[in-house]
Amino acid sequence: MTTSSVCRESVGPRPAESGGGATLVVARPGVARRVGAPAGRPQGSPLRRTACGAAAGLWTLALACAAAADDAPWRSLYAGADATGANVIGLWQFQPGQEGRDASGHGHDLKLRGEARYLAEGPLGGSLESFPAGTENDKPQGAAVPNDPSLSPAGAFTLELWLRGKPELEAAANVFLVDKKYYNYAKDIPEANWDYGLCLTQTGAGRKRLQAHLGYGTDSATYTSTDFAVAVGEWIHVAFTYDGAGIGRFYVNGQSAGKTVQAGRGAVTPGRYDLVLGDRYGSTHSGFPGYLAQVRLSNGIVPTFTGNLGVSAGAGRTAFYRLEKGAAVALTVSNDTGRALTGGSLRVEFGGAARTTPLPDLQPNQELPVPVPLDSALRPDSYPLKAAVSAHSEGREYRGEASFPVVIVPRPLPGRMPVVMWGGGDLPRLKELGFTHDLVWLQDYARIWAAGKPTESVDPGAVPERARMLNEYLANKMGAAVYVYPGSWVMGNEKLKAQFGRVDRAGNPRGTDNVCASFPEVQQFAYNVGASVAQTFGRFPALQASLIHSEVRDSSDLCFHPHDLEACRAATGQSVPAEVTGRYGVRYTSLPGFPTRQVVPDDHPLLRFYRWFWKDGDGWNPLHTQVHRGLKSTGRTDLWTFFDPAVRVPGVWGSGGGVDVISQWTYSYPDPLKIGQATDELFAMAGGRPGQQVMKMMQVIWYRSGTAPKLPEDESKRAAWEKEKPDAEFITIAPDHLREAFWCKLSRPIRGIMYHGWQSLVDTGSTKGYRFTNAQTQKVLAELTHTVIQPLGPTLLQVPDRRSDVGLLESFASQMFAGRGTSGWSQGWEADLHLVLQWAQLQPRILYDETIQRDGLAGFRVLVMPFCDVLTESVARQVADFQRRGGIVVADEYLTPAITPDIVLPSYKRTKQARDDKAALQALAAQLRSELDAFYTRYGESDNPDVVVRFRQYGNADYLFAVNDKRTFGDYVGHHGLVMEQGLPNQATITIRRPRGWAYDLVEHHAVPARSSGGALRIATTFGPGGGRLLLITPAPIAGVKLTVPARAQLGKSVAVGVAVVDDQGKPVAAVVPVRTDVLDPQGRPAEPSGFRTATDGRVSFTLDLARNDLPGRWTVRVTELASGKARSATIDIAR
Amino acid sequence: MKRTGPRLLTWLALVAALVPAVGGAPSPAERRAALIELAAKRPAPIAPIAAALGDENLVVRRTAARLLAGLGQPARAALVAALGNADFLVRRTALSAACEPLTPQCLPYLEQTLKDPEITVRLTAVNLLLALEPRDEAAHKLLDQARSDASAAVRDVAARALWPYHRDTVLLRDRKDWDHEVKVVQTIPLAKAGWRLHTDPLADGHLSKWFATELDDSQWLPIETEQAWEKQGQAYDGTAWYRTSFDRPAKPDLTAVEFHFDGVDECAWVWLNGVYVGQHDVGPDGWDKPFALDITQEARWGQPNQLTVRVYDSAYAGGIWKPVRIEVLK
Repeated sequence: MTTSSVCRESVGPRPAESGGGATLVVARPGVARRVGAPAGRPQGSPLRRTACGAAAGLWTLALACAAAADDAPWRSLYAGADATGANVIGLWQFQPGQEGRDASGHGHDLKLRGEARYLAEGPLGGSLESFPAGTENDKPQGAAVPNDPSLSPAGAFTLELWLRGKPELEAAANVFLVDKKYYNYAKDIPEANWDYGLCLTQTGAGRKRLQAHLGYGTDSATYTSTDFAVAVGEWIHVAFTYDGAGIGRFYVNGQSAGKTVQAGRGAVTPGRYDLVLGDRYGSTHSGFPGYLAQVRLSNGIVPTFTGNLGVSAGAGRTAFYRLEKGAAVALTVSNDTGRALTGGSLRVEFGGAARTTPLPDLQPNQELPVPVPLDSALRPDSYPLKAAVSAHSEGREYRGEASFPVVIVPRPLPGRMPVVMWGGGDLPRLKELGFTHDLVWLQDYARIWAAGKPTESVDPGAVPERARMLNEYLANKMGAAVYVYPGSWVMGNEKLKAQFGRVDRAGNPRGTDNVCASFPEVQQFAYNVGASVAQTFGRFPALQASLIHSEVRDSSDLCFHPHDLEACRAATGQSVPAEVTGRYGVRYTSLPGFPTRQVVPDDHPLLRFYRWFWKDGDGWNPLHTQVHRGLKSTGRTDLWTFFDPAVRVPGVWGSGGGVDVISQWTYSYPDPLKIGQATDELFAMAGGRPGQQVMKMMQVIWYRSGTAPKLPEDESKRAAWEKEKPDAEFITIAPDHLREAFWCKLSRPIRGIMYHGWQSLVDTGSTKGYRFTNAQTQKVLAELTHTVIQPLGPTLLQVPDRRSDVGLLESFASQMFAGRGTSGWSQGWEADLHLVLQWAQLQPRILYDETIQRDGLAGFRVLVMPFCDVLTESVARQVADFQRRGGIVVADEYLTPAITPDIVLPSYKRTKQARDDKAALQALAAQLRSELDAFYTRYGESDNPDVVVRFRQYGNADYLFAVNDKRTFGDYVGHHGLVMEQGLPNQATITIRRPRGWAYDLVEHHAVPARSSGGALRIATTFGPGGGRLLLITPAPIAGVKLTVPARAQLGKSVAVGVAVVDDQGKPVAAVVPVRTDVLDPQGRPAEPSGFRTATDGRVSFTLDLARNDLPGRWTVRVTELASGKARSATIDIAR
Repeated sequence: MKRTGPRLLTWLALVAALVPAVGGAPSPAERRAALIELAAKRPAPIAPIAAALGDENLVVRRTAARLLAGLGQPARAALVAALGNADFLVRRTALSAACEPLTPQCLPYLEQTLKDPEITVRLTAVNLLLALEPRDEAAHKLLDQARSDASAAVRDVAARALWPYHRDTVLLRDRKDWDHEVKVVQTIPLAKAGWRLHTDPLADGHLSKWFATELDDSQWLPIETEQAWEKQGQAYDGTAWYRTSFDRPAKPDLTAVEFHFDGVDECAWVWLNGVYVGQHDVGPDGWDKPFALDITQEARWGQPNQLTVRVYDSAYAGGIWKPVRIEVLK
């Protein structure tokens, strides 16, 4: 945003607009001459006080006046009282021969660090060159002044400097210009809350924002400027003033650049760190890649940088959905002139219209919010909003201006499938790869904990930056998912940890970082965090989702606080059984008198306890519900919450509490089809909470230890990445694995997909942790998101699963009494047997004990029971009844003796030789087929065990997913023998047991030959490496598209568009069909309703809401159904 | 296995009569459906169902066994005969049914099936044997034999059944009659070096009194605590014994003395000076659970003490992998 504020008497230049954007361009002829001028001697004017200035040497908050004038003091090399006056704390001018000397005469001389050096070039002579640390200069940079009490201002102060960025500054997220604070984030330790630091943070391409971090002893506060253009290689002057009482103001090239008010604040707390210019005091990751000149620290507010009359939209919305109700920009008029103003008015120009609003009298320091309604019916685009405020005092006129872009974005089409980057990335590349969301942070836990109730979720100084970010997300049609983890934060605070940590039976701290989530205070805090975020940022539509905690249940444990014990008694009617020593149950072999048949009553005391513990007793599920409630407390019902990894717990319903979505992450190695097992577990879990949805995350990273652990001694046998990055701990998933796993998870009715490991997906220059070792993977992902998720996502969200008649029991009783269970890792025999079922062309549905207890086994024909050592009476009874009805039980050697299985598949323990293991498991699949097929007929199957089929179904239409699992060892990690990462081409004939049907490839948009014989359809298919097919089988052929539009319409009016995908009888096809709609104006520009939709039961309709600034003329509406590729176009003549 | 005997022919003829004519011989699915239908009759005809125990299809055979087991006493004879069936699952089902109710009269079946070639059947048998009460001499003898079974799973059950050592420990802190403050007045860490290890795959070291103070363990493998035995070159899962000796100073003024084990992966049985002092036996989940044992009566002061720890580890890392110390309480 551009802001400026001047007093009329000044002769300084006014800010100029550039193309309606937000670029601050300040005419500064004097400076322009000085930049790049020969160094070695002071340039420009000597010190001059303005007419509005105060007495020399006594800087007080004086009358507002122009500061950007050609003769502004900061444009010259300070001398005299400006250099050595009583208020000057330190002045570093880097002049040749006296480079590190404190020109104030106070002896705060500099010492260079790292590669930093003094140069003779600068706007006023010399300069200090600093660097960001890298692999070859990983040490502190910049220059430091030893700590001295006088470097900590006792009240108001001013910090000012010249800066010039190098090209590396473009990509730097945050760099330190000056630092005496060390911590630029909240941390609850005294040493994080001393003194001050001034940072430059990235806000967009070529744009930055200043942030001053001030420490107040027990906590800190952030003061934030508006954002402004920072051109590489160009000198600019920045200043920060602090009034010693919570008001921080910024100036860029002498122009006001925003302010932050932190109520109730005083002077900064003196600290012990050295003062560093050009880098952070500690750490080596935030050095300033550029040059500094004339840095001055002064007590009091330098009169040059005193207040003005301003207008801004610092923390408000600047991006809106088209036709959003109540769209308004929240402008704030700030009277920083130090005197009362009257007769004011605010004029706003937007979208070709202007409106002037009279203002009430403005008191000194008053912040007057002025909501400005917007015309959001304009066609989607970026429009400049210009605001001009004026007011008077004692016959003098004060004026301020602001100009910034306001973006109108198209309303989202229904059914966009989320593609979430679980972590952070940069928006351009996120969009390019097809992501729709990534994670953001919008909360300061310490502040919310201290408030004890919902409050502003971050420091007021941090709100504008977060607001800018959320506006930018919306403008880019991206969603933000806020990651909140209040429970984990409590344990990161040493004081709170001692109070709220888990305890053992004897009351001793467990020493883990897992909070006792059942504490009422923690539960309330969880709600407060959610509610605070909602209150502060809920008005931003880009905030669309929230990840609530992560991985917290892995380290959960029994807890024995009085409230835990009481809750146990209340819920289970008993105390914690004496045999209970761990959270994962008690082995039946250690229980005297355990039933020989290994069948226990449903209310066995241990089962009762553990069922309660995993549902509610450990506190996490209720805690997630509290955060969820808080986030929804302002009415944002569209914001969806999720928890992961949700099935890293025993198989009992409730994981995630009341969140909208549960998810789980999976590593694809050694067999990418295993992601299907984890996904099916999620559906089993969500089955206990009607309405809860499932998304699925795939790790982009691979553990080196699981895929390529040891560097081959023979260098010639190393993969290219092993030569380049031999120390990589985490590498990029192989592209064929990503592709295959993608298809596998998409064949389930998931609501979205996620990925984690940005630094392994794209080249960020990461040198530690996640490494970028395979450039092909991101290309595959981009292809899949653009050719599958975007066009077909809305349709897939409407296609239910085909009800499976093959169940796989994950027995909670066996988990608690025999230590069984996958805990969501998709490893071990239970998970491998799931793989066997996929290779056997079955479509297993995972069942929990509770599923069977609630729903019985009606509808199932095969029940697979791995590791079912112990059953409850009700489950055993249901299984016996199932067999009595003719159901087939497939089990291993561990099945309880109470059940006689029909087919036994001996458990298999992997050898870690990927090829052998796959062969052995596929042999089991073949054995299963040979023993089962006499009793079970599949709905569909492929004739190739390496092509796995799965069905979803809408009415009488089938959605056939076929995944190619033919793989071999490649040259990426294959030479280690642990993973066959290289996909191979493949082919198969797929049989579907329906007598007739017409097949269409939904990705390639064409009909596929389907041969009907013997009551079945047969389709021959081919596959690329790791590839998948998605075929729609309809009961009647798709014959065409019908399109209904009016012949004429008017700008500003709405037009109804009707679409039908019809069969050979002219009837809408009985299926959910993806369609692409293109609505083009006379210049061929896509209008708002363009995009991908779904024709449900062959029909879809939508409205074209014409904007008053749309183009009149002949518009085109073109609809393409994405099954057979048939299209239809029509035109509408639009008049003004 | 005989699949074409006269009973099977009878069975097939019966099925042919039950299954609607579809041309050709009835399929396995049809035969199985026919079986289920037969078993639902009252009274159910035992003979044709028993005949199906010889069906060529394993699912049909197992269905027959299961159905017979569900028919109770009338089918008992057929099930006893099925203890010799070629299909191990039929044998296992027959064994479970034949041992219902489980009485000493079942011992012959158990004895027979403890020799079964299939582990699953033997495991079922040994578990039944474990549950048999009263456990008379014959049962005891069978269990003792099972301790030498080829399968570790079977051996473990038998060994556990015959395991004679158990002692409940109530620590001073947990005594309900002790309401004085308990203070640790002295902590004596045991050295991690100076231990000896001996594996015990048959889990019968206790029969040779490997816990005896006077046992010569000089030929045992030197080992350290505070790290798993796998990390010291012992790739082993099962039972193993640790022994060490240590000197203690003169007896301090104390109320109680305790051993504190910070972690034994995964079960432990402990002797001090040849006296059994207690166990940590909660299964695999006990691998990282600290535990303590009272040794007030067994600890010797001013003279050498001998400590023996029997450890059982079912999988992954095993052994005394965290420190051991003595706490003197007052």
